[in-house]
Amino acid sequence: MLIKFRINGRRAEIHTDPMSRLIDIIRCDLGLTGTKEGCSKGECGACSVIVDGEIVSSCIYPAFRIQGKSVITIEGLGNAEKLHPIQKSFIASGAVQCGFCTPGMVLAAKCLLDKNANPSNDEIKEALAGNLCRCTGYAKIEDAIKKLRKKK
Amino acid sequence: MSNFIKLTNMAQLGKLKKRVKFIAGGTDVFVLLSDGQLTDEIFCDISSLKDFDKIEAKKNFIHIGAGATFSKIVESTILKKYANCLVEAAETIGSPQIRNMATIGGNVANASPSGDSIPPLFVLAAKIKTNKRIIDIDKFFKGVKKNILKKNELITEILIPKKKAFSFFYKIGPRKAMAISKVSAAAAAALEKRNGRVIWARIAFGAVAPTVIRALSAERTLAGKPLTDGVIECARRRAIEEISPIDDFRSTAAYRKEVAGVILRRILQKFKSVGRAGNEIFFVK
Amino acid sequence: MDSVGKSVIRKDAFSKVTGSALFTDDIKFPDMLYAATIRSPAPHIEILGFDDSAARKLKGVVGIYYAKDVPGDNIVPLVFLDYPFLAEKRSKFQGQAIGLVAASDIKTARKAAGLVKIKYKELPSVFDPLESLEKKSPKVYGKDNTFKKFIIKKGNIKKAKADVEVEDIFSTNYQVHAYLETQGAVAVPQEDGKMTVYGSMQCPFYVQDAVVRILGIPYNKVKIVQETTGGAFGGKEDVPSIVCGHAAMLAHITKRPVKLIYSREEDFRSMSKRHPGWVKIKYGAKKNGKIVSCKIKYVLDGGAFATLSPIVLWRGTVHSAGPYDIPNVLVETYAAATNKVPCGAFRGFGQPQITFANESLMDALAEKLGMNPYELREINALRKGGRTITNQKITESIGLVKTMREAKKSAGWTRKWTPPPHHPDKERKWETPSSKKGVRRRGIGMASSIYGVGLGAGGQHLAKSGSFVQIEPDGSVLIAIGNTEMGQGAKTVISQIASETLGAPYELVDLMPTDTSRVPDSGPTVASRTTVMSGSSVMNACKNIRKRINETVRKILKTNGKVTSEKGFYKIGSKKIKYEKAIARCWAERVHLTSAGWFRVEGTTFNDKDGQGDPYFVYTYSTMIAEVEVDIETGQVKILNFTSAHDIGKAVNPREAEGQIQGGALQGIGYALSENLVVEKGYILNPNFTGYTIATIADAPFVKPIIVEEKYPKGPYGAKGLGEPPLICAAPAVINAIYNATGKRIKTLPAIPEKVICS
Repeated sequence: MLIKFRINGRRAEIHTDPMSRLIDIIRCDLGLTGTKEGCSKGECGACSVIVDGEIVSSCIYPAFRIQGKSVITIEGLGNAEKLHPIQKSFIASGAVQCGFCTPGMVLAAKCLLDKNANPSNDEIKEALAGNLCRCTGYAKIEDAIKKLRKKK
Repeated sequence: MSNFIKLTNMAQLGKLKKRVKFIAGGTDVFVLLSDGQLTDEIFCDISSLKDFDKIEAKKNFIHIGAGATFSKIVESTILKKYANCLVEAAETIGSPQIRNMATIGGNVANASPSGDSIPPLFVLAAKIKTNKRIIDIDKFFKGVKKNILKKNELITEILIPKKKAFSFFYKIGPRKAMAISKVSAAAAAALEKRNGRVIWARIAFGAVAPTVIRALSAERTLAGKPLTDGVIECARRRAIEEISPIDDFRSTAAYRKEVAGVILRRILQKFKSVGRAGNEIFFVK
Repeated sequence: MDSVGKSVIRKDAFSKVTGSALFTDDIKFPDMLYAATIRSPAPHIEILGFDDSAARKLKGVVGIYYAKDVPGDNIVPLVFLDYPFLAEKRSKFQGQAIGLVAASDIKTARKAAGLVKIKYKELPSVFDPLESLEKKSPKVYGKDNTFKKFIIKKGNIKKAKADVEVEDIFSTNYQVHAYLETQGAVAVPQEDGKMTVYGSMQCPFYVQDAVVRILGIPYNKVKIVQETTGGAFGGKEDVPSIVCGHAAMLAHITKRPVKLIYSREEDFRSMSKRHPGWVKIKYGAKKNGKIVSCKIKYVLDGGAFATLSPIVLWRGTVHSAGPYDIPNVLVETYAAATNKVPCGAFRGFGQPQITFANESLMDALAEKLGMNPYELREINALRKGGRTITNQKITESIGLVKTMREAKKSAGWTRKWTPPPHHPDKERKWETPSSKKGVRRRGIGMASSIYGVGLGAGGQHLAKSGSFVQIEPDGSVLIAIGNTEMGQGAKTVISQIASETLGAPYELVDLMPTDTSRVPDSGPTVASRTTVMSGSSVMNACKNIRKRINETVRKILKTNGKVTSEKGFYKIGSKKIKYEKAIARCWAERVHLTSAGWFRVEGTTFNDKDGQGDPYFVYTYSTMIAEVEVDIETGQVKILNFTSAHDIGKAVNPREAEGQIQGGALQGIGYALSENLVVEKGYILNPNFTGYTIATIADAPFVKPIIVEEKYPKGPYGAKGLGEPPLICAAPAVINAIYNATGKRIKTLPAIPEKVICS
């Protein structure tokens, strides 16, 4: 099947089994290894990417569904010259330890803040509840996001 | 290469000769695939069917497209009004990622006894509309992960009757998110405005039997009665006699039985306080 | 100080936050094959043969290999030599590796592995460690299923006269590391039969030992490089030897790079875990609260092979009675073999199990004495001049009481503590406060611990650390150490120590990936030893270089005197020169700006006959306080507040130290409440994240970290160790709080709602 979609703002085309996983398209076909595979069952959030503005688990996201859609991976956020504010805040707050959950966590935070610039503590917890972290105890991840709130 | 077809319109369904496995969100199917299952299936993509995820209020029913994701259900003001327990359940399903992908049609068709959207559908007296017929929800399930759909019969809509009723959902899981229910309960009731008396009540439990079940005896103890502590206690006792949970690695039969009663009591207490608060819209005169 | 003691930005934060850090599955090589493991289908079997015809027919399968194909020695080198890389005639736990498949892609490799049929005969199995120690049990290891046993005899327990005694039995379940990145390795054969292996690991030198073994080639032909590692917590201490060994074997045979990545379920089933524990413990005390005796029997469920059980048992033994000064102690400990997955290292390493028991019993003792649990602990706490249960005299860096006092203050203990409902003391009629009536009941509980930093006397032969430091022409500094970064902040802390010692700006200092060909065997990255061991080693190297820089600085500034460094300048009195300029001058004058570093620990002792000696060079002390709300109708426990105080000597990076404290606390809380691996007759029933539930952000309470600094004079800038303590006494703090709230004592972990419910 020929699938046409957008990845990090650029057009992409790929011939692939419609039942292949989005994570394999991202990591293997496109060579973008920032998206991680932690469990293969959508239970940990390490593979989270943003599709048409919504956070999804790419390890259980079918290739055929990506037709005509827009995908954002961690590589689409910031780069060496200019980090995204969420990335800067994660660094400054000590929200990164082993780094494996970080790409998914950052994207989940982006999804939240794009929809709600001033989330409550509970809203932060709800939005990131699908992203497991074993290292940080989540405290500094929450700090990083709280610092980005735009108070009215 | 997998065997794969895309359904662009319902007419195609009739022309399918071999049995297909429908796939919309993909969350259940892809987990099975990762376990090495579903090796000989023909997959049928239903995610692009027209208006498949539409949620619309019509004269007598709310029509939920089978392809509506749980995120869409959570955000629906019309469902919050007429199907509160379904929205409450949807909020607890999986994770934000799963809710953005998984569909109510898939959750229903998967027929897991711990599928959280199902007890609400039971108490809302939902109907399952397929390309062939309309089925009452309590007739839809046969056993663990078994439904009565025939070969290539596809759920197209879930119909929620527009009743004047309150409804709530409660779930006990191992943690606050990404949790499979140890036991869940939904209840819907119509209350008389002037005295809070129960006109009718429907109660359903999940994860305590091979399918979601109604607690009919408990319902009967409530009908026509005011929600006193005594009446609630009576309903609780009847309800726990009607369920038959098992021991498994998630929990024990004894715990499930005990806690099913607790959460039912808590839901009924909620009806009681709602009755005192006097929410205009859902009282029957 | 410019660097040490400051919360500087992590060295690896940028690459991780941009997704550019490469983990093992992110790297690939031309012509690479993918491997998968064929595993034992049942707990204890005699292997009669294989039928791999269906597997071999799959397109893309390059080879299927068994024990007979091992080029070198089919034994994983660790403490004992009982664990084969691939089972040959007998397999002792469900999931044990029996064979390997190499294929062109991962899907084919895994499919092929699943198609291999193992012909076997089931053998009698034993699953309970206490049963396993009985004479008639099926034998899994040796003649008595005992991997190891220890004894501690201090004073004379028979002569100890106690006014009050309490005794009870406690047990704990497995704990799964649940690192987000599963096990993985990529082995790349080089020319001349050399082998390089990249992998997710804590101990590259253990892996080097293993690859040398399995291939039968010399050490100087094997290079192990640690990739960015996505969490470990002890779960990547010994088992990467197997994963990397397998990958290397296939790379050696096929002469192609081989990538082996474990699936999550496979990782759950076959990789090491925290030992389940069983404890019978008794405390005897005087009426005034002074504990006079402690008697302990402690059994660990080691699983099918010894792996690290002997050492896990040793650490648990040495720390078994808690951080208290007790004159008469008898401790008998055993590590038993069973037909289940071998257990190994997990943050705490044998301490969390026994600490749960002893700290729970401390509360029972306090209640029997009519004392506040805080008071009992403070009375008995080790202080300067006090002696541990091995009779080690504590002479320095003892901040235990400080951790107790600061935690107590921060948590509001005095204001919040009330006795549990239905207090057994009928004489003093406590009035049950409203917070302990009704459906949701509140309680507060505490626990304390002592933790020996480093491998101790039990690991003396590994108590060494090498490093290499080189300053480049532009002043940037490249460091190689033998220990690894696994998220705990090693790269950052070592950079800070080097920066401070050299006088080089922190931004200019970095570490290279840990590589066995760069530094000598520096032991494993475990036991919270990296700051002291690699830190001291690097400090030594830096001091050598600094001496030479100082000479040049004196030449440049034409002054004698002490050379200090501040904010990127070297100074003598009022004269100063910029660091980069001084380095440029050193280069011009061919000053030797590199140095190897070496550090060894001496003086730890442990007498096997009576467990007396000085097993560790220094200890970290901790106190945790948990405030909970228990829904007694559902048994669900909510943590309202959690305070965690640690005396770590010196926080080299306070913010990263807080991160360790918070992360460890949540793991300990999970150990206490929700992490429940269900194993039935040797089969794991919930080998995934939906069945084995670790905390999500929605479940995580705020953990208040408190850092206490009682400097350790021999540690780098006064630092001790912090990696493991943050988990150790979390569970008993929570369980004691549940008791305080409900009057119900949970004696088996985890305290799942099914146990806590008060119906």
